[in-house]
Amino acid sequence: MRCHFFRCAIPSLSVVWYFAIPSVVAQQTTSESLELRGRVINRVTGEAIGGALVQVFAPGQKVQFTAADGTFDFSDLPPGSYLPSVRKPGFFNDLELQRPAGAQPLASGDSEEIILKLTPEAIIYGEVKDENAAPLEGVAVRAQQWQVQNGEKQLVPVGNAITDDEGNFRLADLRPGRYYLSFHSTNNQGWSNTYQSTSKKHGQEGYATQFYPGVSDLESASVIEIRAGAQVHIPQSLSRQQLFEVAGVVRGGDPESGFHLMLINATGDAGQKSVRINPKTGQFRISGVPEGAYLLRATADQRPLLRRTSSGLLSIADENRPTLTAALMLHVHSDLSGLVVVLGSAISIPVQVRDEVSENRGTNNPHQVWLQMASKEFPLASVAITVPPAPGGRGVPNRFEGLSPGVYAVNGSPNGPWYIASMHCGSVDLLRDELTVPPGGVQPIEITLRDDGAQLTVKVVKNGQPAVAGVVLFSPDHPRRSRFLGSAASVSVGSLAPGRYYVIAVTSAENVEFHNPAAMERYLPHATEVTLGPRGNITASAEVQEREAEEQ
Amino acid sequence: MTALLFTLTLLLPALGQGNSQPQAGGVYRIRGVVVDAVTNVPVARAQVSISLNNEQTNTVARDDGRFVFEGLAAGKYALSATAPGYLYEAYNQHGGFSVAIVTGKGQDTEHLLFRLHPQAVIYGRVTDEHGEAVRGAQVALFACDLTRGNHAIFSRAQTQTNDLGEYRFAHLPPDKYYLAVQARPWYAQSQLSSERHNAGVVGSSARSVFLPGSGEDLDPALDVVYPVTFYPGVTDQSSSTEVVLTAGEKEEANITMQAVPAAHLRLTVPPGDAGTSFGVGASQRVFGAFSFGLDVVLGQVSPGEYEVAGLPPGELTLVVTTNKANEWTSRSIEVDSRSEGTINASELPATAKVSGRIFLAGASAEARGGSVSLVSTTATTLPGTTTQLHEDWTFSFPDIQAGTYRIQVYVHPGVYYVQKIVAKEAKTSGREITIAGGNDVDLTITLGQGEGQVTGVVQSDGKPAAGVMVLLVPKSGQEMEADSRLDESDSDGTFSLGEILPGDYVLLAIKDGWDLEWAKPGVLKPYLSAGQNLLIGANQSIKVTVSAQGKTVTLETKAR
Repeated sequence: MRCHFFRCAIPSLSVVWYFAIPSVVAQQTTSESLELRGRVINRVTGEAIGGALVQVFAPGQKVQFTAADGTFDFSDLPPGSYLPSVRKPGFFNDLELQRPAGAQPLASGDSEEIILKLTPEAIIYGEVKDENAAPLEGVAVRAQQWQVQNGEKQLVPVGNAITDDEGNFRLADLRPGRYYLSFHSTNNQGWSNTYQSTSKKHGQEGYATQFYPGVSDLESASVIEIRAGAQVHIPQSLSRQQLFEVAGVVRGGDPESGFHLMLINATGDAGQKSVRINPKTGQFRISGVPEGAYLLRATADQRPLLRRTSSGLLSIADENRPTLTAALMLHVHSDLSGLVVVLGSAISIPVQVRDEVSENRGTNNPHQVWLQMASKEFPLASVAITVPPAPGGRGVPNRFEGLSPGVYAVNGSPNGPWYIASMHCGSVDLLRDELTVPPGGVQPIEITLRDDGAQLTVKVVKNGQPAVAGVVLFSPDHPRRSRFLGSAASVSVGSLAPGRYYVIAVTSAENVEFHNPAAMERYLPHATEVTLGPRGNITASAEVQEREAEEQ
Repeated sequence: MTALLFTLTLLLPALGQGNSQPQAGGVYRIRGVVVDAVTNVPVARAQVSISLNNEQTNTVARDDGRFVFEGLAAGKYALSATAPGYLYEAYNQHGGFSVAIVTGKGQDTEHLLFRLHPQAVIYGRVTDEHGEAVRGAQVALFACDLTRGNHAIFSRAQTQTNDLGEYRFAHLPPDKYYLAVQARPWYAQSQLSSERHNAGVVGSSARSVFLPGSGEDLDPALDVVYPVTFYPGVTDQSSSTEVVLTAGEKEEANITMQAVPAAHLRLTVPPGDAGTSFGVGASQRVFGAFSFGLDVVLGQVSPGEYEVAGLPPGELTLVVTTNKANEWTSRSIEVDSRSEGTINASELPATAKVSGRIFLAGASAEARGGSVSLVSTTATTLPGTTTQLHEDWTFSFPDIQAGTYRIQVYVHPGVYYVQKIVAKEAKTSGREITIAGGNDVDLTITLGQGEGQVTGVVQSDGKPAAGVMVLLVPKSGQEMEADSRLDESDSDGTFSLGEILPGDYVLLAIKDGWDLEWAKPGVLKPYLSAGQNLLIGANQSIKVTVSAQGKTVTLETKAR
């Protein structure tokens, strides 16, 4: 079969899956051409959908918009097998929802009508008001959802909107699921939503980030569960709370070049309303800070990079001098003063990469590893580097810089034919465990790369027949080596570290939390265990497991 | 004073922030009432703010519109206010200027009337030819306003339509507005008309998309685009309907998009080396004030011949970027996609090498380095061209297209300005040069050092006058927009004009002069004789008292 690709935003993996579905060939024997007709309906209401684009991949007539009654009719198609697809704004098709499309009849020469179903989007809309029922403008409303990305369960933003001058917001294009809503008041048009009733008191009030239905943390937030096609109305009233001031001094900076300060909360939003800095003395005062846990990060360039001009600030590049950083974790529940932030005191962790080249030195590739330290407390404050830096990459150090104490997951991905044979920080095996960084810092991260990786081919089967599913490779001894290999009937991957693995085939494998051994246990009884040797080449088959209903 | 409306940001760089004076601890008050500028009725619960040295204090006015800030030290406070349904406005705001409130002995700061203007709103729905919502359409709002002494259309705001195709622009002052929309039909699939295009594609710019497979099977009905569309649904900018809004007016402006077949262009390039890659970006300029970025598809037809597809019909700017051995060069080409079939990149106007040297007037021992920029005044889609100064104060740009450029020089540390330009193979006019062809251009740029400053008091009938337009214009009438300085007198009549290039000027104070098109030749003529001539030297600070003159009713303004 000839493959046709289209340019719209369909993930390539799904395209592979789509075309790998075993075709049921509908042969029309009585005539030279066949007719394909059917109707597009709303999966939830059963109503006809007009103006949807139906597409079949054949020479000649290929696309049609459905009529008002949802019907389409392709006549004069050459005999063959067809898999019509359908799209329309406001709806998801099966591909977009990662539903197996196998249930659809593919094509037919007879007069039977094909029913194509579209799942309507869900919408969350509402108004944000203050305690006096006046509209609040410029509030960032965010819909978030637990998703598994790259083997880790994360709270992922799936929709964003800003309230307008009447306080209205709309979040569309939502798939059925469970959502958290957060409300973050931004400085709109330079107007800060903080109030100081008289200048006698220093007490400030303002709006902190809140979760639906009006709580300050995710743990006490309510989940909004929406079904396909739902239109959920959320009227939200925000109340002011006391804001605090964080003050202190930054030491170690160059008075001429100054420094930057940033206070971010666990959701990655800026935690302050205004920052005041005296670059000469290093004194700073951050006001309008709601109660909570923050990461205070100071950065300073070591030479005057900026000059004030009538047209704004002009930056003069000077990449050779590293930036000085400091990072501090703060728990704010009252005014904080007297903080001392020492630039250059942020933790840096050198990285050493060693390669063990096997005897066949055929590969001439320079070894490079992309490394990421993902903070558990401040997921959006992750740092990534490439070690060693690319030739010509100036001023890029062989180390992580600007880190604060905390717990991190270290992810590594080497280029070319290399695999990570080992990755340690002191006695911590980073392929297995998370890294706790104490205030004093840790030893260098040592990475060993090898090029004698194994090749693995996985054939997916269901009841003895070839099938399509997502394939996950789980390493019980080094869980952080676990990978999602792709969604197809057959996948092949090279440069794998030798060792013991479980091959798991499962629908919606993209959502398997494969870095978490506890979450993987339930898949292991039906998984295929393989042991890969250096330069091994193994073909294994994996039986498709059905996933249980989405866990929370 | 200059309005301090947009100074608070979430992350302020440390530069230029002085010590803050605590606002508390004084004996002065700022007191007043906020009223609707149209009805003169008090505005209940308006948010009022004062700021001194970037430190802002906010309060909420009472139900009768009254507000008070107490315990203030003597100083110059910026005052601003807003309320739901009103503009965010500084006190007596005119453009970027407003009247600051000066507290101190003998100053009456307790009887302020803050006239807050109701906001105008433009809202509407963008629909397609079937009457269905166009989601995610980019809507650009333009206003025709008086900026730097000239009426000009400028880009005021941009937004995107929501799932219902709706957009909304609030907080608008009364003005003349225009709307433009750019969107892509949701079903469009840009495709190349050529048969063989999927082999040997060599590179891409950020906005180019390559078709991975064969496009010949796609239905031509999907090879469509929406042209940039103006309110209420026209594609010709000059037939666009203006929306005139008065204070507080809400106007619905719906726009209908009509899909048309996409245009295709052929691009031939000289056969390059193996290491050469290139990409094409496209944009469309609207009202000379804003560029919509366009999605394009680029594919190779044969060696040296490419096709650019997915373009809307009309006058477009293509930027062809070539990367040869890590050196990037960009060429901007104005094309009409309705008529042009093939563009030969090797026949484009030749580029010139522009080099030269910088001379610093006066003491320059501390100057360490800097940069030179050529800013195109015609092709604004060209990426900015900036080069670092060499140690011997020479500079060189390898490939500059023909056109007119403004020259900007930054030297650090210190404050310098372009005093004189001498050019070989280029015409000069003020701080602009015009390059005609492919001949190499040699520039000698002399920099002056030190800017002047004029401060003072505006008087009317012997008393300090607030809210008067203070204007300093070059006596020569040259470079009016660039070199003039403007301010509004504060509550004690004071004003301050900074960053003045040394030279001969005339200082004018004109009551209610805010709607004068003063940069136009002749408009200021009736006022110049009553102005004060000032010769301002480098680093000179001049203090003056200037008398306010009334606005002269000229024939031209009568005719309006």
